[in-house]
Amino acid sequence: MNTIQKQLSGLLWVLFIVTVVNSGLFFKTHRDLQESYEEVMRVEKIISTLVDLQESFFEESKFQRHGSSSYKKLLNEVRQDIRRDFKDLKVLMKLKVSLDALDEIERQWSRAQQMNDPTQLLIYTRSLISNKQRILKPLGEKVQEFTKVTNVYMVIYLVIFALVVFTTTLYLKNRIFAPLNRLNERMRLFEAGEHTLDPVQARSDEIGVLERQFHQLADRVAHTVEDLKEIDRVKTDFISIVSHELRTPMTSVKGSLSLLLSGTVGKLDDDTRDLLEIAEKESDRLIRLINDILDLTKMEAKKMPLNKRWVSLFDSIKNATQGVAGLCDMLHVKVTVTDIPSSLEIYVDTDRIQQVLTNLLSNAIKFSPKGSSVEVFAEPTDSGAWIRISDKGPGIRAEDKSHLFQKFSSKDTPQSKVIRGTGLGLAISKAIVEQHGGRIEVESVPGSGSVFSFFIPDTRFIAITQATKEAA
Amino acid sequence: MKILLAEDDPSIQKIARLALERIGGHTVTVCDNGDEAFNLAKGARFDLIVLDGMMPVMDGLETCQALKSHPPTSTIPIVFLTAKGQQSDIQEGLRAGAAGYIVKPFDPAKLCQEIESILENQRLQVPA
Ligand SMILES: Nc1ncnc2c1ncn2[C@@H]1O[C@H](COP(=O)(O)OP(=O)(O)OP(=O)(O)O)[C@@H](O)[C@H]1O
Ligand SMILES: [Mg+2]
Repeated sequence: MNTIQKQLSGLLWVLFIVTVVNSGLFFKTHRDLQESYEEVMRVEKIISTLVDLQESFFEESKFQRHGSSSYKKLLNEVRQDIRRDFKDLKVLMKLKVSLDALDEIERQWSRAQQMNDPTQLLIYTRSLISNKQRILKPLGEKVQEFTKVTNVYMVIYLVIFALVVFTTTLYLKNRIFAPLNRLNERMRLFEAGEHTLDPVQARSDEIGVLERQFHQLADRVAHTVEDLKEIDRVKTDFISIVSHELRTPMTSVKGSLSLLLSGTVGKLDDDTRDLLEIAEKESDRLIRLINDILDLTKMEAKKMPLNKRWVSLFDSIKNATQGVAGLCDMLHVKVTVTDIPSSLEIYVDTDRIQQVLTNLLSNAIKFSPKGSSVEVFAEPTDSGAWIRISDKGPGIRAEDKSHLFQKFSSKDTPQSKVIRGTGLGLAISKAIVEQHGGRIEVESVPGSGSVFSFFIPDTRFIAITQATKEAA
Repeated sequence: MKILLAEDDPSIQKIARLALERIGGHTVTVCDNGDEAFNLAKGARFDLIVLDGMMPVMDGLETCQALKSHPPTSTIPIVFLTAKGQQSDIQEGLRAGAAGYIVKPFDPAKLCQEIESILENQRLQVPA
């Protein structure tokens, strides 16, 4: 599971340990070097003291002046000084510097002391000075050796460090960034609709798990999408099959009746004609019902694409009023169109909006009392336009308002005896208006009329040119 | 006028034939599928061809395309008589070269009217 975490922290531990060990080594080496350096300085100092001393020895006059007792005292001081330094010099033993030369010096010193002879002392200092090289050389070598060792440590450390950094980078690239990028790319492809992804050999680390899980998820989504497409296809098939299967027999029924009624096949007596007319009227109604149901099913299945364009609202309403002119004459109702700015355009599927307008108008006319008029007007707002159709009919009770827009909501009323509806008109209108991103409502005072309104969100005012004015 | 009618549903075939004969006064030859219609049209001269949309062997659209790409029959006006009434279907039919598009269920009298006006157009065009 936590492979990447483990491997990464392993690499970091290696780096940490290497650094700690190296720091320790550096520290130790540095201290050793420091010590050696101090020792060397001390030897250097002793030697220069001795050189000074020897020089003063040769000044005969000085020797005389101080006298032998003061000379002895001075000598003693020097001796003690050197002694102390010798003791310190013995520290050098640790550094494995050969101290033969010092032993020799010590021996000569004691002899010179016994004799109390300045000449001997002279010899002593001479020998000490001549041994200077012998003492200092190993020390220098030691220092050189230390430097070499330190350099080696340094190189080893750098190599290990570089290796660790290199492996980490390679690791990050191959184990983390490459699979992450691959996963990203796959997600992008999937998002773009490429639902069949090549199989992956994902590792067993965290990203591999992520990759595998993404693939499982993608598979599931792809399957669901497939299923949805299948359902969609079935729906489309269903609509077109039903549409064909219902229309074909209706075509025969309607065609036969029309042909019979046209009288081209043979003369009809009045009763036969009446009966055939009833059959024709009902078959028309059935055809309308079939068309309505299919429309509604298509809209519900989102299979009715809108063919939107900009059209004049006034023209649309005028067309719809012309379409219901026959109904108006039959029921002695007038339609008046008021307050529709001719510059107002709506962005709609005209055929569909005609359907809505015709529906609302024919309802209003159907329910209007004889001699009254139906009014159509528009109310542009900031976000669109309301189109309202008001009648002076019986109105709608509050409790009926909610299911008015549902399928088959048609109720038998005195008026509905005249023109039998299918009860789908408002349901279709609602679906159409909602598909346009609008909504449909009704306000009514029972007994005095109703106002059906629908809202179209995409509207604009166009500049009226002289030409369009003349055309209007 | 000589009209070829291709329609696989026998009832509709009979109704359309009767309408064209009795109301329109045309001479009608009938067949049940597009393939037959294409062969008939190649063999004899027709003034107009009425095609059902969904037919076995070769559907209306295919038949229309075949007729239009066959020089001797390419000038004969074609009318679709079909249950496919969506805007896209109508556009497809007209693009295939149809002169008229009648959606089922149809009114026999209207069918005859439509055919009459198409033939009238054809008459006006031919001499020119
Ligand atoms: N303007 C109106 N005044 C009073 N009642 C109405 C009005 N418009 C609709 N209704 C009521 O709403 C019902 C449903 O109307 P809808 O348009 O959906 O169906 P329909 O007119 O009966 O049939 P269709 O429109 O499908 O031919 C009507 O039967 C009627 O009861
Ligand atoms: Mg209605």
